[in-house]
Amino acid sequence: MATKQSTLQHIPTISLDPMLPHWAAIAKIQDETPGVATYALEFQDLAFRTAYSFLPGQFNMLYLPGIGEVAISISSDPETPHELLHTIRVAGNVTQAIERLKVGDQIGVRGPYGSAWPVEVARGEDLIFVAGGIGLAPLRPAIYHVIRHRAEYGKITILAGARSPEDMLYHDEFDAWREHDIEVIPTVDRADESWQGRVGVVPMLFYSLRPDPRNTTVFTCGPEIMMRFVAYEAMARRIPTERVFVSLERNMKCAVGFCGHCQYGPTFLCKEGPVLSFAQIEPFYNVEEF
Amino acid sequence: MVDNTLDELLRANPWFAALGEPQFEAMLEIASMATWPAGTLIFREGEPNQNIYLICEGHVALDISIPMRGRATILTLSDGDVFGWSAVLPIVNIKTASARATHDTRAIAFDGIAMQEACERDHELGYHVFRRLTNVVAARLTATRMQLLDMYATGLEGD
Repeated sequence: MATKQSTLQHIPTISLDPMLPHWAAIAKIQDETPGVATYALEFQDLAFRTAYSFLPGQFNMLYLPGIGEVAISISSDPETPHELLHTIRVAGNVTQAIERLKVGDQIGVRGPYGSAWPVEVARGEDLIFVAGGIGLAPLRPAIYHVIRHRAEYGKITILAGARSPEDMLYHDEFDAWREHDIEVIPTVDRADESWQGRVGVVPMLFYSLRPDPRNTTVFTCGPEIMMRFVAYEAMARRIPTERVFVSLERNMKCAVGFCGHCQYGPTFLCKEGPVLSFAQIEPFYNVEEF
Repeated sequence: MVDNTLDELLRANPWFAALGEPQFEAMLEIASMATWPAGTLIFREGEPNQNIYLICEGHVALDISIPMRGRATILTLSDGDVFGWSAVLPIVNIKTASARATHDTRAIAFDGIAMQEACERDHELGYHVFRRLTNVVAARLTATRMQLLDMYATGLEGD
């Protein structure tokens, strides 16, 4: 880590330059599911750590010198921003390199960036969270928010899908969430007889719900094909597309809307997204080239 | 579980809300209540088709036996869901999956042959029943497509 330490010395303690990372040490690594782990990061600059805040659904750019940057959603409680968590699935060069890091190693962090789950706008409404696989990670800060402000929301349902029981993210938190009058329904695509929960793809769980379309907001994150069918199921129940929110992922590079790598139709997902209403993206959602 | 009469259960179910009184009576005539404690095998793969079920309360798992691998659960169903629909649309005249109650479950059972005959006698009823069944089959098809896509599969295309 000597190289990173020397680089760190040349970085101003607090910078307004959005392209400059701030160094954070890995305080803890928690294995979640096969190929997925949660990294607790601690900013080295105390002033920056104290000033740092984020909104549920936003992401950071995590940087490893000589390797590259990757956009990772923040998966921790926005009201305790100093306990900064990122749940990361190994997918490419940068995340493979992150997987090799140990507690105490340092990562460059730029952020937070992007739009947030509209938890304030949804106040007073019923909420349906629909997550698929690693998609529960960007939703978890919003779940923590509604738990902290439980009385301000109506009925809350979390539909959590995974490929198999072993791949179910944060399953050890489900009972704690249920204690806050939240219905948590996990489902897996495949299982043997030992699995006591649901089997079937997550959008199909809508068939067992009776949402009030006048008063329900949907937040969904997961594979894009899953979110498409979640939106269709919500629309079939007359929930307006303006109240169905998705979190989209594209090739985010600069994270500030300069480079255009993450352009999706007329929007830059790093800046106007990743959280968008289905009404905003509906014209482009089935265009193969996007 | 709440003890409702069969008549009340049928009237409360969206499947029958649009039926006229004669069609409703025709359905009531071929319906019966079925209850199973958790763990009960409701029917076994390979058995002759007999009933179609509409779940009122509970959970049912559909399993398929795979030689040398054991049983795999392909789908679970709950309140409002239908299973055993091949009794009305018999592609093959045997059950193609096993069904077991994973929780205490209550359902309305309809004799499949009697339902087909009732639909033949009254095409208005037949239109209603088969429209509903088509929705069930379409939803299963969509779900199966998504399972086939293995949408959680991870590529190495990311960072």
